[in-house]
Amino acid sequence: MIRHIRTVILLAGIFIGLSLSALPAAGDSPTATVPSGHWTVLARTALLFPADAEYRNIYGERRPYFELKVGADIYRNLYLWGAWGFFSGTGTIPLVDEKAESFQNILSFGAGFRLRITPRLGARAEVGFSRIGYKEKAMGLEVSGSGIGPRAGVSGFYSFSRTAFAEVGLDWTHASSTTPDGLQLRLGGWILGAGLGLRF
Amino acid sequence: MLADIPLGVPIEASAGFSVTAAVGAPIFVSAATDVAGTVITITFNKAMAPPAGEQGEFSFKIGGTVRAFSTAALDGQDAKTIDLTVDGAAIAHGDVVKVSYTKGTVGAADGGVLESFTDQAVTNNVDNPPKITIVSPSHGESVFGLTTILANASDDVRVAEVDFFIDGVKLGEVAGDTASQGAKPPGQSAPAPKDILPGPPVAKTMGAEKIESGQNSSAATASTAGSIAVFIDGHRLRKLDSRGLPSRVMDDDPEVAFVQSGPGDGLVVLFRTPQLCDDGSAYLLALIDPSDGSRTGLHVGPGSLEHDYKFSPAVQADGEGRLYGIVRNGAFVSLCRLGDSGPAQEIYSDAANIEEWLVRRDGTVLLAGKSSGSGEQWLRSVSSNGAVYEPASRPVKTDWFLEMADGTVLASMADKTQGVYAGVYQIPGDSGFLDENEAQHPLIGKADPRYAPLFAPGDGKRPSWVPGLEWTALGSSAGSAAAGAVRGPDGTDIILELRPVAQQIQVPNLDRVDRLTITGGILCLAGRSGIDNRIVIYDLATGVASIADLGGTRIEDFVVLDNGTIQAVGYSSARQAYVAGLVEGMGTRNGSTITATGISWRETAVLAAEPRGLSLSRTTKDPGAAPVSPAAGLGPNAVPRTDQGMGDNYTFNWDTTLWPNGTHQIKAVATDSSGQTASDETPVIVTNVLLSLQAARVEVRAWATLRYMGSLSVTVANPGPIQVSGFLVLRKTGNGNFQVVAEIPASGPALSAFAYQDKWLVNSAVYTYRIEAVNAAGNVVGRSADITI
Repeated sequence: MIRHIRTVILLAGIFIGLSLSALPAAGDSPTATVPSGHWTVLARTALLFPADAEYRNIYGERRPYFELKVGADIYRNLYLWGAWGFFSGTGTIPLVDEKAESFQNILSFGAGFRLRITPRLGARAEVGFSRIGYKEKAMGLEVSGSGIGPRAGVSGFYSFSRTAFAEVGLDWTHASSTTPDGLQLRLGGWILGAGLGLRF
Repeated sequence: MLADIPLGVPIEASAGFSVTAAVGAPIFVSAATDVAGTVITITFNKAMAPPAGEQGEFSFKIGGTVRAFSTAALDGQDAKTIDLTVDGAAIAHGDVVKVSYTKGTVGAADGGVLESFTDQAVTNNVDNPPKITIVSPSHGESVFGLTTILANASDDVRVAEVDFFIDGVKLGEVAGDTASQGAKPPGQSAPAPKDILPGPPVAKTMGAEKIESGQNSSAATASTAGSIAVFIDGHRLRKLDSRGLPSRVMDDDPEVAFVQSGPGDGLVVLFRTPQLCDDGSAYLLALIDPSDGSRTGLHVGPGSLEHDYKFSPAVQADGEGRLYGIVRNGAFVSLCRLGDSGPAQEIYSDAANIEEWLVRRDGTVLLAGKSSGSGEQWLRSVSSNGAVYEPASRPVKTDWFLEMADGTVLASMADKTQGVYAGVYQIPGDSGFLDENEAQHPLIGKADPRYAPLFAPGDGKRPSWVPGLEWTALGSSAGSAAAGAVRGPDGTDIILELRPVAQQIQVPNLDRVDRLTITGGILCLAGRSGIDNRIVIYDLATGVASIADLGGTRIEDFVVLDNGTIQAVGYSSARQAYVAGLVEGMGTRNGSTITATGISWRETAVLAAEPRGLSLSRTTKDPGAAPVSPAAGLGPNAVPRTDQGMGDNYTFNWDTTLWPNGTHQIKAVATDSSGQTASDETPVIVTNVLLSLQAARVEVRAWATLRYMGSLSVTVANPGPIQVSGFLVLRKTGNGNFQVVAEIPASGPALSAFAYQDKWLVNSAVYTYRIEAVNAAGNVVGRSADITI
């Protein structure tokens, strides 16, 4: 968990450095701020609202979620994207007052459509699939597994410069899995977050 | 000539006439009573004719009261004597008795007619009856827990025995001394303890040489006069000797946690608490010789012996009879060889939990363990010199080991996470499952056919991983056969796979296996279909199998006799009691499905009204022996104690927790050597701590993790008030022994309640719980009913 947070902080630092270096200098024309390039990298932090009520009972209604996303233009406003994110939680099992820990990671791939509204403002819509892995340590046991399900999301972005932009988005991804004990799990949930990105 | 003719005898004269010669009348010589006062014997000077029916001509007088006789007969030993049976109350010791006769038809054998006689003195031989007084508990006293009943008994000759009763139910008896007790001066040594009839109900059992371990019990057991039986009676190890009489094996009250057969005829007993033995040493183990009750201490040393395995015995022996055990000391477990004296010899140690293990005949030990730190499961072989071999494959989950008659070892193994190795494997080699050269090769999953599974059910996964299927029981070796029972989901048939003989039996209408053993080539399976119980017998050699319907009797233990008959013990829901019975005959098998019902169940004895469980018994065959009479379900511990000048004290330890609270009548009856009896009674009030136990199997879910625990709720009602230092939570799995899983401290006698969570349970296993309240001395002062979940 700490290692993941460190990774995110490091990526955020790199991103901020690159963004600052790309800010327009005095006298640059406004059109110079229009993002260009075919590759996009986005780091974002979010709140994930778990889909599984049993999960929420133990670990809470929302969990911090961190994600790194990359995209590549393929034709005009269409692009392909991939993302990896994770969230974790600790909680207490009420009946026995024992600690429980869980971790889920979401690996997603899909396609998106980018719509530019103004030179600085734009919006995106994405669809794809997620492979959601989970692991839980509780009551002396460790249970893990995964499931595959759809993912969809919309977002709006604002470009600071030719390469840097900020984005706010809402995603939904969901998968299901059955544990060896026969428990039906609902993985993923709604993801509401914001991030900073580079386009080059 | 006439002088030669007997008087009174008709003479057949040849001269045509006859005369009657004069015959003398019998003369009264003496009269005496028997020791019981029920018969007066009159002696005459000559042989008498049978006086049957002529008792009315006799009478006797005690003081001024005239009494009659009910019968008259010649004494069987002496024809000169007539025995007259007293009609009504027996003549008492010290009574002045006189006997009279009114002339009638009584006469001598030679024809002489008895003349009347009056008030002839009768020697009073009536024995002085014994005296007995219940010393404690006193009248109306409140008692609880293990209560000692103390009675003082004396007699002018000797006290033959003292019997103790509660509410008219005989608990047990204590044999008296052969010498006069009342004449002993104060301080004289007490008579030696004699045989004590068992408190627990007993029933006849006979069978092959076998020790059947059962449950820690305070009630039912099985015994046969002429056999040796050892049983657990209220945490006491007791035995029945060759006469079927029990005697004490231990000096004090050990908490027996585990008993099983040892080398030879020995019996290994594991005490939950260290046991003080004759030499003053504390032992955790004792090796008992059931033939005479002698024991040898086996010092384990620091730590405690692990004994809560699913299948593996806690103590195992190699081919030379050396005993091994797994000793826990903190986080470390040690494989130890248990010596006759001194601490156990450590062979191997690791921070791990041993889940199953097997001592092979050559002293090699197979360990199926789980590392404490990583939780990784492994399989290791420890040779007698301590060398450890391990297959490269990890993790390996081993469910069970079976050592066949030829030394072959079978094991059920699987990869814990993937199930790719699932199956029953033959562990190769006689001296270890891998040699030095093989140490780096995987034992399982290897392409070499030698390591291919002998039995891989279905799709290659572990049976327990197939939804609805689960390994539930295992058999021991019989020739080259091993057995596993696969339980189907509700409503499906039980499939037995017998490997490597590769036979399969399909048992219809059975959805649960309670017990399965293979003995003498006979497979015995007890199972259930709903509430109906069935027993299956299968001859591995002939393939003949049969099934019997037992109705509401649930078999919990059985022994195969030499003639193939099955001696079984089970619980009858109809009788609300444990019963013993026989499964007789063999049926036929139709293909792979048992359809015949050619065997029958015959109930032979009811073991107890309110049993606490079964016992273990070791029996030798003695078909002609008679069973010991049943008695109440108590744990007797009666011994004569120090003579206090007025007689001997006789004590009886009464486990009052087996009786309901309330007023009960204690009665002590002394019987002297002549059969005279005396009794004393006193009421007492049993006021044990009442423990009401409720237990449920609770599903505990985090999110993706699911476990099961026993949720116990106990209410405590202390009517005493009785000092309670704590509560013991006891649990047994299936037919195993009760083990203490928790000790909950308590203070004072206050009414209270508490809860306990038993984490964690195997969902497929059946658990039975019991709560005991104990005082500071460790005595049980309250006991709950058993609850099975």
